[in-house]
Amino acid sequence: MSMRFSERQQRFSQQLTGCQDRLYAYISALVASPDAVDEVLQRANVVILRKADEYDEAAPFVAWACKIAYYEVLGWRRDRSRDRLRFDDAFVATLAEAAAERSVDFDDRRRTLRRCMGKLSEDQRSMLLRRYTPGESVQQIAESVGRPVASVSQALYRIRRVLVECVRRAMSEDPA
Amino acid sequence: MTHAPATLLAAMIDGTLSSDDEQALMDAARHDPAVMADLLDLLEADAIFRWEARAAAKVRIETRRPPRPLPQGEHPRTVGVSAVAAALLLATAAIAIYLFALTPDPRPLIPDAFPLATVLGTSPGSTLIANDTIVNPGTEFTRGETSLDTGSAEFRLDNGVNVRLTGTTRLIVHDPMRATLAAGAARFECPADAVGFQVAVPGGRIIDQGTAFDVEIDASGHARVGVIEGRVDLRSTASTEPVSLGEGELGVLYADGALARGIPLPPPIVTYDLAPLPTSPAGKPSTGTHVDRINRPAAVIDDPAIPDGDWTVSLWFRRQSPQLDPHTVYLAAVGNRTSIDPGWSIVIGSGRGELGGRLVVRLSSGAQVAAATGPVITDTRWHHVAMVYDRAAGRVRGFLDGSANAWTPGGGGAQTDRVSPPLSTDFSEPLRLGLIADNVGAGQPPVPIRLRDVQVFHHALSPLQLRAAYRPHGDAATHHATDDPTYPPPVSPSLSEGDLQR
Repeated sequence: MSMRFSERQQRFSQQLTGCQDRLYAYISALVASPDAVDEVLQRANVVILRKADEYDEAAPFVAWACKIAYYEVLGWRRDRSRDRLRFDDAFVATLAEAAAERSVDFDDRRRTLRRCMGKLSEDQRSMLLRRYTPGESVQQIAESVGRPVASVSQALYRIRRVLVECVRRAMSEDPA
Repeated sequence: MTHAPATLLAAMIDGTLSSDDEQALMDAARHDPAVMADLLDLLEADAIFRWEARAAAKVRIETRRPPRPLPQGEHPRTVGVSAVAAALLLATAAIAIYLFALTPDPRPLIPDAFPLATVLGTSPGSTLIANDTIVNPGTEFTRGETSLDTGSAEFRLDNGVNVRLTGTTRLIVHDPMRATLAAGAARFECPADAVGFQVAVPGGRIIDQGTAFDVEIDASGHARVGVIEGRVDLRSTASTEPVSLGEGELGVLYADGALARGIPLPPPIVTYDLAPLPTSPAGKPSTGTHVDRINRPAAVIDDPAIPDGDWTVSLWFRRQSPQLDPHTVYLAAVGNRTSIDPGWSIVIGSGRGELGGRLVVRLSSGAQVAAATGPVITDTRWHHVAMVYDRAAGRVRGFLDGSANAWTPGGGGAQTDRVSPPLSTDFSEPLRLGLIADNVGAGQPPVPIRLRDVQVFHHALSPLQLRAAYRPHGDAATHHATDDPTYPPPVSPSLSEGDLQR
């Protein structure tokens, strides 16, 4: 049996799949644990699909999706109110607002970030890639290089600062 | 003790922030916009790295996992709505992973030693290099950069996507579903299993929807796209609305992210529509344009503005009789009155000679000849023919109706379509349009061929640009959109035809 999608459904699907990275980044700003980010993103996708008919195509899709994701973050925090959560509710609300505004330029920044990676030294790049290899942690890196965790954390921070400054410079020179 | 914001931010990203420090960080961010900006930038960068690392790892695992065969007698079972939803989510996530192309980067985020492509073939004289190693037919190679110097090369990804590189080309293969075309030209033929295959280009991504398509990157980073069959989506980095191209359609994804349907051509140096030439009271062109088989062309342009560099000459012609002429017909020529005279020409070979009425494009210095031979045209429809000279490569190419497929090197005494060193094309000769071979006497029947819309470009137009020249509206149907079904779409509606049969 073949299934045919309407043009609206196709557009919706394209927009949803096309903004997964932005939603991931948005949720990551509000939820600390990577596993929790995946969980909230999955929940948000379910709700977004369920509310597909309610979406007004004249409105920006990402902003609409971020709003739904925000409510899912709040729901997730409510479910885990006995656990230690990163940041208080008021601060999460402030972050959510700022993160949603940033989603407009997200693609530009992501592309610029990749370009800026090329400006790192081989050692810096290698350390950063290792940090983000699934299963690797700052503790493991610290053990393998024989340095304190705080020292590795600071080294990674300096690398990230170099990248952030590089992206900022590039974006201010070429805001498009 | 309160730590500096930098220490707090570092600990937050690495998940080692204490409760007290977290409160200090929130306070700092609330009161200092710079700390808030740092916090947002660092959180976002961290998310991007995690997303890309996870996507790369997931793709690697999924592409290497063999399908699990069903035990004998086991049939797919009906699944519940929740399972369908879960599958949809997984599919959505998988598509999402594939949709986000990495920008060109020779060093993959996650190294992968598994081969994912097999070389099918390379043209004579061309060298295909994958990950700094020359690879030959039958060789497997892993993700990374492939580059071709000249000619063509073909390889197949392990999900069945066929990739054909043409000319000087750089393609970075990230995984079986994603590649980045950094320079040159490539054709991608994607089987149904590879729907969603995407090619990243400077201005965005080209996403397969079950199709075969061509992509060319020009020197400015603009990507020209031509769909051969099926459908592709062009997704810009600057816009959320993709442009969908169907079979036969052309589009451009500009380096700045702008999208356009169709492929605009550079402005020609000059267009000769033949009609404005002065005509005699008898209705015949008045000066040097009478074809009477004593070496007098239909039109002579004294200053043809042919550059001494890359160029393209494009024209439309139509036979008015399927009968082949017993003599060589020069549709356009500068010098080159025989195959070895200095100059260049676009000719229809003599029906009696070895060329048997084939189309030929030819460039000669007298000592060197480069030529390409095309097909025989016997129908009476309008056809588009173009001759392209790539000075750096010393190569001439012929295109008929937007395609070079039916052309082979050589013709008229030449053994190749290249000359080395490249020839100067400053022949100081007029451009003659519609000319019969020198040794044909007067009084014979006129040449039953018509010409129109002769254009000279100061560029070696690319194959997709020539496809666009043949289909100026990007739609084959427009070829039949006039009263005369054999008439081509005019380059400009104001142009009218010229006629050699005067």
